[in-house]
This record gives sequence, C-alpha cells and structure tokens, in this order.
Amino acid sequence: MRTPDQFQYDDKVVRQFVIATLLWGLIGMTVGVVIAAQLAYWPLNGGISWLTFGRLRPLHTNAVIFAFAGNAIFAGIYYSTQRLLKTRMLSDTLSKIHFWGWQAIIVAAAITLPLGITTSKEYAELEWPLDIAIAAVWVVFGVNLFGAIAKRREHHIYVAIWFYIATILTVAMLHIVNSLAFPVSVLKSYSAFAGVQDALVQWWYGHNAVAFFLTTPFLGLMYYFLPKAAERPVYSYRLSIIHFWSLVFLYIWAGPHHLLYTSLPEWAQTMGMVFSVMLIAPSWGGMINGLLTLRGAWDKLRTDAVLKFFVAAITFYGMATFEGPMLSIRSLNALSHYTDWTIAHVHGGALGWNGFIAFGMIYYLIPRLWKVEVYSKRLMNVHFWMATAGIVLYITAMYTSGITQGLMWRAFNDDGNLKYPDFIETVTKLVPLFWIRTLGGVLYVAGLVVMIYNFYKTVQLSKAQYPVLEDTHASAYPLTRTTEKSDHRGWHHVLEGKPFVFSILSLIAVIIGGVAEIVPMIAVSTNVPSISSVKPYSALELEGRDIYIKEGCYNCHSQMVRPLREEVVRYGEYSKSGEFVYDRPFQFGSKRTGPDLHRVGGRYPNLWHYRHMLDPRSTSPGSIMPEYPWLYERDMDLSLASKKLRVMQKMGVPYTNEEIDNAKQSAKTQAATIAADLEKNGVKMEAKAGEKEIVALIAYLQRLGTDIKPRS
Amino acid sequence: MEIGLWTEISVVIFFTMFLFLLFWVFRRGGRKGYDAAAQLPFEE
Repeated sequence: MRTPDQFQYDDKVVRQFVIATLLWGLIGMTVGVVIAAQLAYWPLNGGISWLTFGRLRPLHTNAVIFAFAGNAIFAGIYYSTQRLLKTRMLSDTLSKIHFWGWQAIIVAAAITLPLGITTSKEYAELEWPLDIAIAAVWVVFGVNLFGAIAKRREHHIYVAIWFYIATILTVAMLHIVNSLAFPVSVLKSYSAFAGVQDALVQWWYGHNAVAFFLTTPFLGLMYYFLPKAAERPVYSYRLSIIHFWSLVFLYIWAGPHHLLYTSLPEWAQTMGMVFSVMLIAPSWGGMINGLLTLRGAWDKLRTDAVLKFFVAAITFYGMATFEGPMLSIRSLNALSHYTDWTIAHVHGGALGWNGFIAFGMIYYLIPRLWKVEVYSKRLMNVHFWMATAGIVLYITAMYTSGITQGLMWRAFNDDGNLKYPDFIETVTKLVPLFWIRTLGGVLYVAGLVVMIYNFYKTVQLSKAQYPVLEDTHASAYPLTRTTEKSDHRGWHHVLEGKPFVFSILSLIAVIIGGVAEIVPMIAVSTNVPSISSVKPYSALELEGRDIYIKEGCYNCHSQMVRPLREEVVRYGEYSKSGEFVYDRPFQFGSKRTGPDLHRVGGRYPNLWHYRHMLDPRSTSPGSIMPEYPWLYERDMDLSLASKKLRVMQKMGVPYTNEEIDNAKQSAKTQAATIAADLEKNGVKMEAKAGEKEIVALIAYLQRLGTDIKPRS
Repeated sequence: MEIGLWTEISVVIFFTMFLFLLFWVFRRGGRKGYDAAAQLPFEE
C-alpha cells in the first residue's frame, strides 16, 4: 500500500524574498521620486556627481525592475512552484545562493551606477563582471527550479509554471546575447555590436526584458495567486494554452517598435510594428482570463484588498497592452517617441501591473508565511487607494506632458518655420507637469510606506505568538511510472507532463523572432549601407564619448534625427545607419528631455559647450539640465587610451597600430588645440586645464554628425 | 495609418486565425480535463 511522502515547503526563502521586495521597492521608488523632483527643480541635482539625474535614473530603473520586481517574482515563484509541484525546491543551498547572490548584485549596482560605471544600454547598464554574476545567479535559480520540476510529485505542470519556464530560458538568452562585450578594464567594456545593429539587439533585449521579466513571470503569479485569492479556478485553462504560446512567440519580434523612424531598415521596423499590433490578442487573452476568473465573485472586491490590487493590476495590464501596440504604429509613434507619453505608458504598466500584482501577492502571502492575520485590513485599503491615486496623477501628468512635447516639436507657423524653434520653450512648459508627476510618485511611495508599516506591525504580532516560524508541512504521493491514460484533452495535456520537451519547445518559440530579425541585420551588409566619409573617433573623442556615457547624458539627449520634416528643419540632415558603424555602444537615446545631439557637431563654438556644461542656464535660460563642475576639476584618464583603441580594432574598427600606439599623445595634442581655442575666446585656462574631462567631452560633441556633409 | 498592403493582409489573416482558434477551442464538449487542470492550485 502506498504511503504519501511527508515533507516541508521552504517558507524561509520566500519570507526573505518578500522582505527584500519591500526594502528595495522603497529604495528604488524613492530614487524615482528624487529624479522626478530633479526634473521639476534642477538644483536638487546638488552639484554632486553621483547624484545627478543621469547617474540616478539607471539606478532607479535597475532597482525597480531587478530589485523590486525581481525579488517579488522570486518570492512568488518559490512559494507557488513548491505547492503546485508538491515538492520542496531542489536544494536549500541553491536557494540561499540565489537569494544572497541576487541581493549582492543589487548592492553592487547601487554602488557602481551612481559612480558612472555603466554600459549605457538600458536595463543592462551593469558592467561585465556584474553581468557574469547575474548569469551565474540566474543559472543557480534555473537549476533550483528545474530540479524541483524533476523531483515533483504532481505529474502535470500547471500554467503558472509554463510562464516561469519561459521566463528563465528567455531571460538567460536575452541577457547573454545583449551583454556580449569586449572588456577594456574591470570597470569598462565596449559592446560587441555597433550602431544600428547594437540598437536592434538592445531593444530586442529591452522589450523582452519587459516581456519576460515584467510580464510572463507576473502572468504566472496571476495564474496562481488570483485563483487562490478569489477561491475560484482560472476562467479558462484552454485560453491559457493559446495565450501562453502566442504570447511567448509573438513578444520577441516586437523590439523594433523602439526604433521606429530611426535608421533601422524599414523591413525591421515594419516587422516590429506588425508583431506589436498582433500582440494585443494574446495579451488581452491573459487579461480576459484573469478578469473572468472573478465571474460570480465580484462582490468580494468590496471587502478584499488583495483582490482589489489584483483586479486593478490586470486592468492596468490591459490598458498598457492596448496602448503599447497603438504606440507601435508608425504614425502615432512619430508623435510619441522621445516624449513623456512613453514614460506614462511605462509607469502605468510598471506601477499598475507589476506593482499591484506584487502588493496583492505579498498581502496574500503575509498571513500564510507569518501565521497571523495582517495587522490592519483598513491600512491595506488605504494603501490601495493612495497608490491608485498616485498612478492616476502620474500618468495623466505624463500624457499631458508627452502630447504637449510632441505637438510643440512638430508645430509650424504659416510661413513654414518652426513655431517653437528653441527647444527650451518645449521644456519650460512642462515643469508644472513634472511637479504633478512627482506628487503622483510621492503618493505611490507613501502607499508603500503604509504597507511596510502594516507589515512591520504584523511581524511584531507574529513574533509574539510564534518565536520560531516552521516551514509548512505537506504530504503527497510520489509519482509512479505508470503511464497516464490519454484523455480527450489530447497532445497539450501530454506535453504538460513532459517538462523537458515543453522547455525545448518554449525555447524554440522564443529563438525564432530574434533569429529572424537580428541575423539578417548582421549578415546582410546592405542593411547598413557604408558611408566612405565616416571615420572612427579619435582617441580624445572616444574618451569624451566615454565621459558622455558615464555622466548618463543619453538619459536626456537622443542622437537620432528622424526623417520627419520637423526634425530635419530643427536638427539638420536625418541620421543614416552608416554614420553609426563605429558607435559601440550605440547612443540613439530613447527620451528627449533635452534636444537631439546627433548634428550638434560644429553648431556651437567650443566656448558655448564650455559654458553650457558649467552652467546650462548661462547659454540656455530656463534649462533644467544639471551643472557638471567636476568635469573642470578632474583630469582625463588617458591611461587606457591605447587599450581602448586596441579593443575597438579587435572588433573591426580600422584604427592603425600607429594610431593605437600614439593614442595618449594624439589625445593630448587635440586637447591642447581645444584649450588654446578656449583661451583665445576669453576662458582663463589654468595649468593643465587642457587635460580636464570637459575638453574631451567638447571634442566628442564637436565631432557628432560631422562625418557627412549637409545638403546645400 | 501608414501600413503597406501585405502588412494589412497579414494582420487581418492573423486576427482571423486567432478568432477562429478561440471559437474552435470553445466548441461544445471536452471541458472536463481542462477543469481538472485548473484545480491544481487548490490541491495543496
């Protein structure tokens, strides 16, 4: 007679991930409020290098995506997987390594990013040693999860676990490919891809970071925690099958919608656009499945804060996954790209979908992990309404701001001239909206503070009653080798019992889109027509480029003039893909808080740039740009000048050996020319002033867009 | 909307296929196995 196995679920690691989620959520979102306030009131940049918007914004994005959402995902996955498979995770040691390894990476990010140690590739800013650490910890996580699947006591893999499998495999693929780089030093590397190819790889990664880090694992959490909280099974398991496969297949192709009207070839842009529109179907399949799970139980919403969070989350998900495809259509994207509309879209999804799923899930978990009811149900509802109000304020401010920007940038007078020729006019108009957005963010963070207080009080109650928290006991029969009779559900039912095959098919589904888009971009040279006048950066210009990256200038400035009348009139000739062949990494940018810089070379004298970086308001009254006084104090570090050129040469940039050997000297010679020009124009240049970082940055900016001659 | 003819055709084909698939999936009969699978979270 068979007896069931007795075992325990590892609740400790789930509790740890929950605490980490709350802690990093508070930190990451507070940094978000700080940078929002900096845009509204530039003196908050403080004149301190590691506090500027350009240094802190990547800290904010990494913290909220990988630290807040990441820890929430792991908490939910570890809790639900064990219960769905009726097994403890493969190894407690692996669980510990996963938890502590992930937190160590986050701490390293919190140190390196404000110091300007960055690749500048969005949501992949961490330099190569941390990329390796991420891959190692991710493998640990994958082994732990797949190991649990291997030793499961439940034959069939529930839909939530399909999403976790797709997440693990796809994030590994995306991270490894997009992080490919050649190191110059421990703290610096150059992307293995260049220009428009780098842009495509980056946004294949970037959009699929949204898809497979912020969507699929959260959908998996939805499929487990929503039915549990509502005490009803998911509306349609069959719909979840269609939803899963179409989502994981289609999402991968959508990356180019971040590059519409750029110099990415039109076929790739169209592919991204079309697949993004098609993505409405599986996304809304998931939304429908989630919302209709509450059929006949809607009255529970009145009293249950967990369900409030989940239902609002799914609603924001539906909104964002309709808006995203619309924004991916070229004609609408021509208005919205680079504006705050994108910011509104992101934050509706991130605060609404990711945040609310995380909060609802944690409120659900607290009584089950700490064995006592949540301290105050009233405060849970207070949190919900504060956070919802915060989101609404945030996104309405940013919708208004984004559409204002877009319309002002493209406005023409009857005489055919730009109505707002000075970019600064389109910035100063937005400042009141930046304040409203900051208030929205403050409300959202305040809601989280209420949650943390509620959590703290709950844990105090728990400690008083349960000084030691035991893991949850469980029992289940081990799997036997007898083959299950196939029933009318057919092949997918069989597939759900074969996780290895399932995983291979998932991997194939996600590889196809990347191969179809990226391989032709790299293999077919006519996709990036070469321009003979385009030359590599000089040693000094490359140094300046690295300073541009370090200071995070790309967070506010784009380098991509689109082939639209309003852009060509404002900035000059539109950008060609052949101009970026030596750009590693690419610097197209994705937001214009400041103007596009691709044609800034030669537009202003050196003196203008010298004054502008020291005090932006001296050249552009009303500017919200931070001041950069340290660029005038710090010497350029030319110790790696030759090494940088050699690494570039290895990747195919045609530097000669002579140029490489003389890199340091040629940089100093070019710097002396700029310094002499500044002195001639009245700048008091002290000894060694020509060797300061500002000179390198000026050299880089003066080079931008000058490789091709403007049309006469 | 700036969209070429082949793009229009492929989008229409896709959505038609998706709707057809949904209707086919929700045809009469065969819910039992799916309902059983949806109960997994409640078997702790």
